[in-house]
Amino acid sequence: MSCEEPTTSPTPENNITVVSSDGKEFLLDLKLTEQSETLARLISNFEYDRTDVKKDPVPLGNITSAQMQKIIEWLQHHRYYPKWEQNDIHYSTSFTFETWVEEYLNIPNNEMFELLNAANYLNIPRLFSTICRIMASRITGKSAEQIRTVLNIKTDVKNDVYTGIPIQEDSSSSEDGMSEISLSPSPPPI
Amino acid sequence: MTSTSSPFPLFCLPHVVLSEVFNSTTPDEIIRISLCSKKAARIIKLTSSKWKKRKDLELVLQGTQPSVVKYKEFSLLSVSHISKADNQRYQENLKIGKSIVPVNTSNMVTYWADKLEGVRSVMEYVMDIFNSEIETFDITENATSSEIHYIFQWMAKRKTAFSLFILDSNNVTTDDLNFFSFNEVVCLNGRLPETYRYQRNSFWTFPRGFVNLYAGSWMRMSHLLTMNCRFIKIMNVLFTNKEINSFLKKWQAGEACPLLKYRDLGFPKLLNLEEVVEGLDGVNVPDGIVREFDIILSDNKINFPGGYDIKRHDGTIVTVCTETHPELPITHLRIAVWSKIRISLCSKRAARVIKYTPNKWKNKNSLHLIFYGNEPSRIQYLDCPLLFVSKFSENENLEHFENVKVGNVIAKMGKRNMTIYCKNTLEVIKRVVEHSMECFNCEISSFAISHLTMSSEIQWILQWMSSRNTVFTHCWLDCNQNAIEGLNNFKNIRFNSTANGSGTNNPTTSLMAIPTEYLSIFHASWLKKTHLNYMNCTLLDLERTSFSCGDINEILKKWQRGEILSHLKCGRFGTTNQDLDQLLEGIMSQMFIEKKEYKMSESDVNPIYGGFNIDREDGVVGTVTNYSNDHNMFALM
Repeated sequence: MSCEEPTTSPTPENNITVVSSDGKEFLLDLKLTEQSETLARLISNFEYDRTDVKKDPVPLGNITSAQMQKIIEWLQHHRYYPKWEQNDIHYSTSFTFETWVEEYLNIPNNEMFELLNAANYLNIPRLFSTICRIMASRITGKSAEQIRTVLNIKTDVKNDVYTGIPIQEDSSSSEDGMSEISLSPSPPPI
Repeated sequence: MTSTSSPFPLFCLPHVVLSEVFNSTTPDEIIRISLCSKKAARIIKLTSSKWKKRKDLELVLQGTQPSVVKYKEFSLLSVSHISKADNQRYQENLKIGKSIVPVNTSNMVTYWADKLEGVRSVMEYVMDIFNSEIETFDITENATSSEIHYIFQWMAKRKTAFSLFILDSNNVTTDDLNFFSFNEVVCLNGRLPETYRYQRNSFWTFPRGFVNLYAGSWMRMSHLLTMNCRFIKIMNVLFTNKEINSFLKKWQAGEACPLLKYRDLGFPKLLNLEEVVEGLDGVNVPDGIVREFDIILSDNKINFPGGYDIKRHDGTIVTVCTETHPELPITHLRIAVWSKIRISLCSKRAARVIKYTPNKWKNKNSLHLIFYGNEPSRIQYLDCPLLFVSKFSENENLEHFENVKVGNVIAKMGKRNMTIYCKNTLEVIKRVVEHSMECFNCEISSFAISHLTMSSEIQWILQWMSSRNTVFTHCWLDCNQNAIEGLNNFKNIRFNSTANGSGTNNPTTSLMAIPTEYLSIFHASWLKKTHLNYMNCTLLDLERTSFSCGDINEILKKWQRGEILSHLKCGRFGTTNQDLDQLLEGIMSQMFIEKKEYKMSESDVNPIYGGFNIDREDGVVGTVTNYSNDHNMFALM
């Protein structure tokens, strides 16, 4: 069993093993798993918090080892933070993030995408909301063209003609290939 | 944050994640994203739940300037004539409705060959994206007659209740004004047409919120009497002192404007206040006493210096005063109808005066406390909410608050919503409750506690209740039964338990033993037969129990022997099956098929369409009947 040891000397009594989609095992302190509602519920249901219960490794089929490593880094940093409470964020995209969070999330968009899906899967509200807010703030103040670039949206309208000339709709990118909203977090090709 | 090298495939995210991203943006960003492509618009429509159906959309129709569709303070899209399009640097062709038009992406102004068509398309596009109607219309002074006519026609086609209409233009026609009705607020700042023809159901007769007319010289007293809204402000009126006096007499008798809260009439002359209040038995308030009236439509309070207090037959007090501005010249006649709880919060003296002035609202046991958990908790008098208590958020704008004294603490209260904001809501709820009880000189008699309430809050409220040496008449608990330990001193309890079969809960038997009149449990699947041993009320309603007809058979036999439910007048039991043979097995019964009536009280008579009479050992006859055709429900009467 090749175990990563991200937590401060976890002992078998106070940890569980999770297995990423690529088969790598991670030893997780139970204290850290409290931040993930998915893991916390699983531990509660299987009574893994009891010392006399045999703890089988928990397979996390949707999360790669790289994502898991990143998530453990987040959980470690927020180990002693109070429980996350969703503030009402009406009408504000001027979010501020602590320096550590900015550095932590200074990653390519494809990694950010995967991390967001992983945070959603593991139900880590603080990480989930933080990434959503970062994405929202990246859209703020941008023109439609810039938003298209940031979000990889294909336009329906040809932009090269204007005034007096009838404007054609770009049929190739209108309905064709327009799928419904994805309900499964399959990583897209970037 | 520099990681924007590769695009972020937003629309590949799962629905719930996408929704969270959209909810973290602002409405104007939602529109910007929706304009990127058809797919973007469709996904936005399906996911941005936070901004939908919020009634916050507004049209500002301007003649010379671009007209704007707004979402609260956010300008979403503006509409201008194509001839005004000059800065091509920021222009992009975007599809709005069925048209592809140039849009200045720096300020989101759209350019149209037909501006009115553009206004319509933009309105319909925005309404479609946010799935809500535009309910607020602000027609500015330079809007032309044809533009107003177009908008009125469009509004008439929408089958919706418009909440606010501000008409700042002199260009409106009689036909347009009489075209349709407005529902909540109408502000007419321009002049009416010289040839305005009054109709029976004119535009001012419909609103129930606010009518604000800038030029009211055309108004007659008959018009004023047809209004029935809470706030009325009409400037430049020509009523005589006698006419105002007759209006007040009608109000006093309950014949005019019963909803009235505040009225401000502007006269281009001096008024004789003594003549205005003649014969109304008003109490003269010294000029030195200035009271403040909080009008929800304005951030500033209205001063009421002196004046006369007049009482309506139902005890409601109105104050009439005048304020003169000789330099204009204009005299304001102000009429304010005071709310009791609001008055009591004005000052210590006000609270004391309210407390010691006998009136019809006191000693009625009509105060209810409604506990919602994450929504503002509220105290209400019958159906009328008095005060709300909500958690204070750092995001709140402090300008919208005023300091009020509740009990011996100073709290922040929203100027418009009678909501007291605080960090420790439980402590403030206690003070609000005590203040209201003192004001109305009666105890809170009824409680409703929703399932959103946390168990610590329930514990707190139950402790507080038990500290009052009173008999509560009604308690509606929509929570798990394990949260109701310590519930005592109830006469009637309505208890909605959503307990599931976790097996760890131990229902308090004392709760079931307390009510002597009525006990109702909606989700009673956790109930055991032994629990019935403790019940001793006259009315019992147990829905969705896990009892079979065999279990009910045992209960009936116990009832026959006088071992349980000896005071029962009517009991309704939900069962898991419907087996009459099993139900009456071993019980001597006499069947009847004719319709009978069971009289619970003079006003509550229940028809029984057939059933079985069974005898108790002491000679009392009970009727067992199938209570409902749709559910497995038997009644013992």
